[in-house]
Amino acid sequence: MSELHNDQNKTPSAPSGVLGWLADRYHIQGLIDYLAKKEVPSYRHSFWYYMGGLSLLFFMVQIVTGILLLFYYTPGKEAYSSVKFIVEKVEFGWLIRSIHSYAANLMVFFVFVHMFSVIFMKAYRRPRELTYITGFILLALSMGMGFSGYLLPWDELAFFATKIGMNITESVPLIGPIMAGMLKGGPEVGFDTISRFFALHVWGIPILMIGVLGAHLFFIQVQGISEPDGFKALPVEKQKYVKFFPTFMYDDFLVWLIALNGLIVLAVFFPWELGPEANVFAPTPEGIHPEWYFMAMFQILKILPNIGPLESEHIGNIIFGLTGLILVLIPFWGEKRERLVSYFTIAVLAGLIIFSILAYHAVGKI
Amino acid sequence: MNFPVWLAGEGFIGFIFIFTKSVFTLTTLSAFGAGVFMAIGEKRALFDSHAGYREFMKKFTGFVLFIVTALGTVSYSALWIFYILTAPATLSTIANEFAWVWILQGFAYLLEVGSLFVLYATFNKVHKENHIDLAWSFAILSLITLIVSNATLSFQQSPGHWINTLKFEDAWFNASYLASLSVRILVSLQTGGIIALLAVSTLEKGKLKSEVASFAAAFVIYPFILLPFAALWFLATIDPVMVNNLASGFSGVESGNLSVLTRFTFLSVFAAVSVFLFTLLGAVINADGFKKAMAFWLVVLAFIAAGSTEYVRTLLGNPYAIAGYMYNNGVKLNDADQYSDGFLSKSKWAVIKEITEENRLAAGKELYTFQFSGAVVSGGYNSLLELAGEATNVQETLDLINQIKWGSESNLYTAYVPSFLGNDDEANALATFVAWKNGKYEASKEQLDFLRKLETNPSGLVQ
Repeated sequence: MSELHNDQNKTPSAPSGVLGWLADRYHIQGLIDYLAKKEVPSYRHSFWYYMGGLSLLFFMVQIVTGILLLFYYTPGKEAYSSVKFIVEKVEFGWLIRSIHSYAANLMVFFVFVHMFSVIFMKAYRRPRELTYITGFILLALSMGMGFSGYLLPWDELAFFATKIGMNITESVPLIGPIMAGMLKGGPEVGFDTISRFFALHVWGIPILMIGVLGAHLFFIQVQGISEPDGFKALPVEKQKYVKFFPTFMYDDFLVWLIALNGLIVLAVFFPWELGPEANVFAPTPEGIHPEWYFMAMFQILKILPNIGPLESEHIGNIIFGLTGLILVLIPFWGEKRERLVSYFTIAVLAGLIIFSILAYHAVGKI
Repeated sequence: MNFPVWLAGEGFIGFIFIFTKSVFTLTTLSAFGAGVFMAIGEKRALFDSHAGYREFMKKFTGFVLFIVTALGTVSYSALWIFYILTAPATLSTIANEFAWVWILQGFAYLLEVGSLFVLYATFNKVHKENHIDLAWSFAILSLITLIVSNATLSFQQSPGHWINTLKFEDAWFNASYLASLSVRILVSLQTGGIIALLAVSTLEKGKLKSEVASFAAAFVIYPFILLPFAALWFLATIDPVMVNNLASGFSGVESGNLSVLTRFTFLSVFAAVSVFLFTLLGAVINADGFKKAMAFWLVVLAFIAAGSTEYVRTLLGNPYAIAGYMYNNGVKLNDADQYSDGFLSKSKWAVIKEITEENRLAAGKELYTFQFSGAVVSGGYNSLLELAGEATNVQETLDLINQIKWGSESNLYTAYVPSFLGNDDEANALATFVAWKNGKYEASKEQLDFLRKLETNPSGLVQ
């Protein structure tokens, strides 16, 4: 048995330092012992385990920078001028806004990577169905956070991209018009829409996210991190583990530190731009497009034809809805269809990449 | 202008230059820190019962030998080639002032490398106590090299009284000499610790790894605590204009208008703090688990910190090669008056001597190349093209060039670009070229043909 594995079998000793101080006063020894016993497989694909932690990091960055932006941001008619004030007058305002915007995009990116890695490593299998489903809900909520936050600066790009998004929402069969009406707060995207998106962005979605995230983390803590087939197939003496606490946790912090450096480079060297103020009466400028994670859908909707009584947007919504449903139900496909799950996921991933590239090409960005 | 200008190209070559400079900075600075680590490390190995400790110290000495000799020498040679080609006038002035310093520096470096060879070759062949003395000898010789090289580097940043006295001792003991030396010594200890951590990451898990990792981490952590004080001291000793340049970028900046200097300062500070935190989390709190991947990322972070700090240091000095004495285009401020009635006619390496309508664009390019291309990249560190970016035509560009003309009292950009040297016709040619480069002027076919000839066959145009 490896040296590492031997370490796991030792009885956790009484903590010293800050933990010891806390353990003396609050009965946390049980928690420390529990965490000390938890272990994470250590092998060549272990780096995928950091993707969830990175998503969490960027979520936390968004909360902190979002609170700072709230000190100055005013929804409604003054939305644009308040963002301009943040960017141009408030000390380090441009930096906070840039970090907030990049962290939002990086969070969605890492949630995507995390979800696909979970599917390919088959970590959705019994008994982790709920961990997977809560993760999938977090992806949807992250995209919702991105969509609702996109409008808030009320610049040209934000306005027209949201208008396109609202048209798509409106075309969802049955509930679409009601949903779009509730979100817009009137017949068109306007200042009332900003207030509603603001409420969703600052309160509604974050509260939901914190709740679902809590459940997601709870499931992981209770069930532990899954061991992929490749790891289980290794001879027992080669199956190495590291303690979750403190080894894996410290490693996670180091990965966070590197990610924060990447974030600061992006924010400092390529500050998030603020375009001209939105003019609701102006025609849609050329090259308007949504955020990168909606680009594939944007392109698919553009190329879909009308079929009989169904308009292209209806067909698109049915395709997206079904794809989402199939993905969320992956844990229930059964072991016999695991290969099919992999093929389906590869097809979805390839589709997302190819249609995104086509979309960027169509708007002249590549 | 007694020297030709070699344009290294934009972007990538500039990056290679900063990369090479960062390698050089890290490797040369690391020598003293690594020397102290080896001397104290060997002493600790004497009292440590673990047999592997001394073996580790031997391997580490070999590793330092490779870094100081191979990486140090290659990057040093590459930098010399860069400087000779891109800043010959500056090099010539420093050589005149610091001939003895450079000889001394070269001699100290040879002794330093020699002592390192001896240190490595005599492991387990001389008495252990004597070997520790050899390690101290290497550390002291490395410190001497650091002290000497610091004189030339700090002189460029703050020549102080030397501008008036031109005395050697004023050049050596310039205003920022001691402050910059303290910064370099602290960074040297840190880089020594980082190199030691790189070696530690190869050790097997266990008591020895844990012990050496904590010891090496101390070299990174304790100097970091002192570093902000040394940095503030350094800022207090350099020209206040440079400090203002640094400070003005920090508040109320519009998105996108943030100066390059401010961006790199942010990066430098953030990367330095990250190095500290990375070491604390990876090599102190979890010393036993310090892995190769962690060491790799630590070096990457240290590299970013060193690279961005070097870049900030270079930017702070602009537009001077020697502050208040010589512009980074090689023109001494004392010689500037003589160019008021014409620059091209007095420039030895200029192809165009008289400006016509046909060669106006090409003449503008020559003026731009000689005066504003900076030390390394054709855009310059502080680009005139960027400064004139908002001008909408040749006339507006010309207004700006007249504002930065030598002797102009309304020049707001003395800390940004060198003053323009030349007559009115040359100012017009430069404005034409800058406006054309920024897409604000449509050149005639004849002008473009002439420019092409200048770029492809300049010798055929010599007037």
